[in-house]
Amino acid sequence: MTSKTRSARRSMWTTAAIMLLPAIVALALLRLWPSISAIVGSLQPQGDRPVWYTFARLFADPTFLNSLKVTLLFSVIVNPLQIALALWLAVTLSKRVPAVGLWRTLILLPVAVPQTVSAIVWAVALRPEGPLNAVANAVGLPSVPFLISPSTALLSIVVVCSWVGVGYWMTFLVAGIKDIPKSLYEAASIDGAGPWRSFRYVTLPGLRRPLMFVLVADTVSNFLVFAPVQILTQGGPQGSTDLIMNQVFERAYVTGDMATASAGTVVLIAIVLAVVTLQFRLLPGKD
Amino acid sequence: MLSAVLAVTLAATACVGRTSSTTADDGARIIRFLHSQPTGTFSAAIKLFESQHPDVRVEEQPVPFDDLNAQVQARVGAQDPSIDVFAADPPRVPSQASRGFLTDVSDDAQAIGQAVVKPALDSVSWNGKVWAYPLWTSSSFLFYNRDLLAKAGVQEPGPAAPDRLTWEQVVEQGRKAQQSGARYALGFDQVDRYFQLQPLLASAGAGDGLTGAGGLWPDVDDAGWRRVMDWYAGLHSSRLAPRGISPQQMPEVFASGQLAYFVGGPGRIGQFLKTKGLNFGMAPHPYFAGGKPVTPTDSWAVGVSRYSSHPRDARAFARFLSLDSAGALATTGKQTLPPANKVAYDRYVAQTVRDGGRSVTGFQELLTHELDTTARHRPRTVGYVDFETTINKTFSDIRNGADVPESLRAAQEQLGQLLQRYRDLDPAGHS
Repeated sequence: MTSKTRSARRSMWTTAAIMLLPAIVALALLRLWPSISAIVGSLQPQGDRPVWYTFARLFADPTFLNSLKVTLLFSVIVNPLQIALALWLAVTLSKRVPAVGLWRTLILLPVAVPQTVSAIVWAVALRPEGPLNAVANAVGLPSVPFLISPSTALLSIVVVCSWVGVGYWMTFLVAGIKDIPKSLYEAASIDGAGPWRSFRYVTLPGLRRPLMFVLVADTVSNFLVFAPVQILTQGGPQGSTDLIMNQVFERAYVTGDMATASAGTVVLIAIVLAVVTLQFRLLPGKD
Repeated sequence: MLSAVLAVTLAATACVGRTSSTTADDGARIIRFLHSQPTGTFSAAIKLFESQHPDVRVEEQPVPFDDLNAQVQARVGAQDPSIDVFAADPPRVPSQASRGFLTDVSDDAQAIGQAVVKPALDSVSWNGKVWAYPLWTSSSFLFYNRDLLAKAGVQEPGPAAPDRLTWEQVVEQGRKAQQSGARYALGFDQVDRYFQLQPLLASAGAGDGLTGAGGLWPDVDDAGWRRVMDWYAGLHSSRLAPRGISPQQMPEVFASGQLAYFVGGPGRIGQFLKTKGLNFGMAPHPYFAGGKPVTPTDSWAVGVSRYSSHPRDARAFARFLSLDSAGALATTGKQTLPPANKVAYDRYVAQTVRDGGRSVTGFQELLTHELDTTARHRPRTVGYVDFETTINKTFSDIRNGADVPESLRAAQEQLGQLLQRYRDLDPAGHS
């Protein structure tokens, strides 16, 4: 290896280091450091009790166990729903639809509205005697107790989150569909494939990578849902929307129980890592 | 090149670690005041304070009511020196003092005792020490919409303590008003909050919900609580009172003429007087037939952060808002809560009576009567925050249709677990 090549290689590594540095610093400060801090906080000695005392206290608390159950139920409903809707919209809006740009913009628009603002608007819309029920009553339907009944509150949160989420995830899938060569569709068409078979054998395989990203990122973001719950229900009614992030927040900043808040965060990180690992294992990500 | 990379890293870290400046460009010391009042509430008081202390500047940091506790917990709990003074809710004082958030101001106990009304000094004392400066006191009244009552042919309640209606009468008359066009019979200002509902429980003979050593044992699952909560549930399930509306939005429901009766504090007087077309009056807070009259009390106090970067200036400002009658009175222009300061209290009452005219007939005598005879403090315990958070959610669930015995049983069990933490820390219950 000549000194010129060596110098060029060193320069390349330095450039790479500089380019990567902001991301690495941000990752360390915003992701790794809080995670380490949560682990340390959850293992803080509580008098002469064993080191796992905080976790034992947390898992003996029915409120926390309920929040685990609610979080898992929420994830099972919201993730398939958002991804299916985003995929359906992406496929539909990739076809020759009149005013397609307008539709895409309208669907993406909720992303631009701050979460708190959209939650406040939904709070008014979903009131027992609010505008949505007024419309329902006007067409002869009964009122729905959107946010005040344990049987409908979690679904209402799913709707509020999906209002924003579906448009956002759709954009990634639209971009993915645009990357699929048109010739594949033409070939499928010549072979007599209809819309369903084109979707099943051309679109879906072509979307494997963006779909994998959307699946993982959507799952993680839905585990971290907080603002709509805090503004609309504060975890109620009767704990039916008490997602784990709300539990962690209340423990840390309402009752000041930093130890169990940290332990709750560690449990959340463990669940997210486990689910994402499972997703990577079960779904083929390579071409 | 590597040194450049290192410099960039250090600069980035330095930016993250930097806190906001505590000194102005002209050399004035900046103190920051965290509170949850509407913008402008303290403008006049701050202006007056700064005119007397030209080398100090006060910066307000107002946050929504529901976020204040979390902000104090997060920022003062992290020893953030940029918060110097913060609004403290008296029942939370023991919790904040035990966590080391508040400066011990016991050396001002005598001065506070002389300047403010007696219940206010009690409200900021804990474990034999004084932890904050009382700012306002409070009570609760039965506001009524004159037009809605007249339309229903219901006689207006009298303004004096002996004219006090029972809850049974209020519901009956409210129902009549509803049948004659009012959207709802009755609404509560701080709906689903312990501050508002403790007097109802006490009026029916139920306990405060906390008992035992240090007030660290829950007691919310008994016949008294079930009786009052059944009444509260029935009031909302029968649509006499609205469901699904947050406390922040309740005053507006009365101001917009949808409620015949509204149970609320003196802080609403100013807002209602400014509402065009609202023709209202005030009567004593109701009680349950066969029970005793009880009213809520205690409002905000001002605490000095243990981690203040300018503790002397911070304390001077807190003293000014509480002990200086001009300073205390200046805090009542926008937020019409009665100041705890005795001199300012008298002036505030006179001013309110003058501004309110017919709407506040008898206010002076009634407020003083309630503070002297029917006012009840909320429990003072380190576990209060856990208690209030849990029980407020239970009230909300009950309002929205949850089963009363099951909700109270669940709250009792949850509180037993939450308060265990404090009992473990202080088994003798000295807290």
